[in-house]
Amino acid sequence: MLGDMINPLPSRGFSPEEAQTLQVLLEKSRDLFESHAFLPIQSPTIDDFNGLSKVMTSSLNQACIKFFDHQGHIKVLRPDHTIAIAKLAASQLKDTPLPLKLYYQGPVFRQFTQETEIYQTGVEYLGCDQLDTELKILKLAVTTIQALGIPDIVLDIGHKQGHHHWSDEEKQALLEGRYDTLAQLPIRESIQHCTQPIPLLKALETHKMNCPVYFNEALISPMDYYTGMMFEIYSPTLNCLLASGGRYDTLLNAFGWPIPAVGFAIHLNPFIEKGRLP
Amino acid sequence: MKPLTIALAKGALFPDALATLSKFGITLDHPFDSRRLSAMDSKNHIQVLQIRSWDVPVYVAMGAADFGIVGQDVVYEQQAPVLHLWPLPFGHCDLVVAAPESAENPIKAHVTVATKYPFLTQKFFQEKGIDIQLVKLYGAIEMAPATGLANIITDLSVTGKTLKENGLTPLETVFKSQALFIGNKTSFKTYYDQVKTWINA
Repeated sequence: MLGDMINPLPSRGFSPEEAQTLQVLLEKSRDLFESHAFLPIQSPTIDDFNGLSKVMTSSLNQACIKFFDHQGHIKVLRPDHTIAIAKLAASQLKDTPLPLKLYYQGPVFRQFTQETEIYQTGVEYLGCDQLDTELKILKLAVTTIQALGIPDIVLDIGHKQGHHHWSDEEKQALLEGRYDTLAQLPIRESIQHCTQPIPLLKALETHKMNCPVYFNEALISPMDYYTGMMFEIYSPTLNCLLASGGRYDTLLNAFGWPIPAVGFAIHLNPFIEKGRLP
Repeated sequence: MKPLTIALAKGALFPDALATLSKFGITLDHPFDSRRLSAMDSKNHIQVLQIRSWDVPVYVAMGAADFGIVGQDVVYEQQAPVLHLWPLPFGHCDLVVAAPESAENPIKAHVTVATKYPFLTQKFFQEKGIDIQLVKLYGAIEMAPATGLANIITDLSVTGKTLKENGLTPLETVFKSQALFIGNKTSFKTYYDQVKTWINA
């Protein structure tokens, strides 16, 4: 947690140049998502904390910005798009034919981070448990980031199936970055050399992603809701994380709609801070 | 591209930290002195920084440095979002609770504790179920009981000599520390192969 090092609630806003960059990023990604037949969805900025908190990790619970309404109910500023959209979809879209392809744009709000308002855009692909969908989602994430002006990216993939040999304590250590308590450094290897018996990784040997792809054992999501593959896309030259996502087949069930799902979020703040126009 | 940057904590750890880098195969173009804040290994395109220990996790968390060598006490106290890669065999010391020799039953509820480590200290007493009052200080913690600022202290101790000279007795260990090699989360991916060679050095 960065809380001790920085202002816990930094919010700085954007200058005209930065706001312009953000507009272009939003337009470009919107065009791309719509060309792949994704529909826009808008989850509420203010939601009931108790409704969302049941699926949040303790660290996300802490990071949430909460307040009381006039009746004393705890409210929260949207801390995560995927959770908010899962709740919204489960309550309003149950009669829609599946699969349901949604995209979103807007900020999530968290404290103890470098920026309180974290702009994200991304997709949620609901009602499809096929490997093929995972490949499409990975490809779309890579394509979108490259279209937004950052060509030199790396894709790291982790998988729940790759974590069987870890104890719960070891998983917690991985999540908190305490690699010094593990018997050895977590494995990270190019998928060409990867011997993990995971169908997705095998499929990636033939489905080219237009960027280097690694299997990364250390990739444990801070979100409890991931049930299969997880991924992160980062830029070695900008030295920052640009996108994260994965499969979450039980999340919608927590809100009463038992359907599988896969999706990702692109973190737009680094694009704006680096002042790069796509 | 920015050179791979390693931040070393100034002070007691520094000579051993430099020796660790030379085991990694890093050879500096010019030796460090007390005023030089950075040095290069131009052959390997690696930059080495000499900064205050409390700044090392900040540099690494924010990506200004890719890796760092600093005491575990600092990393755990700050709860810095960095990777703890592996411990290094130097810089051993204990964060201990110490009280004036004359004090009877010094660890009790509502006692005032002076410390440079409020997080670790609070956690220690919380786990014992003892409600305490904290006073955060930046140095000369040993003086706090004698001046009436606090009843007891927690402070780093290697031999216990400084505590003894100030009429204090170490009572319990809050945290055992040694030097730690830490990394930025993204840099760990970027330089993974390099890091694998260092861990075996």
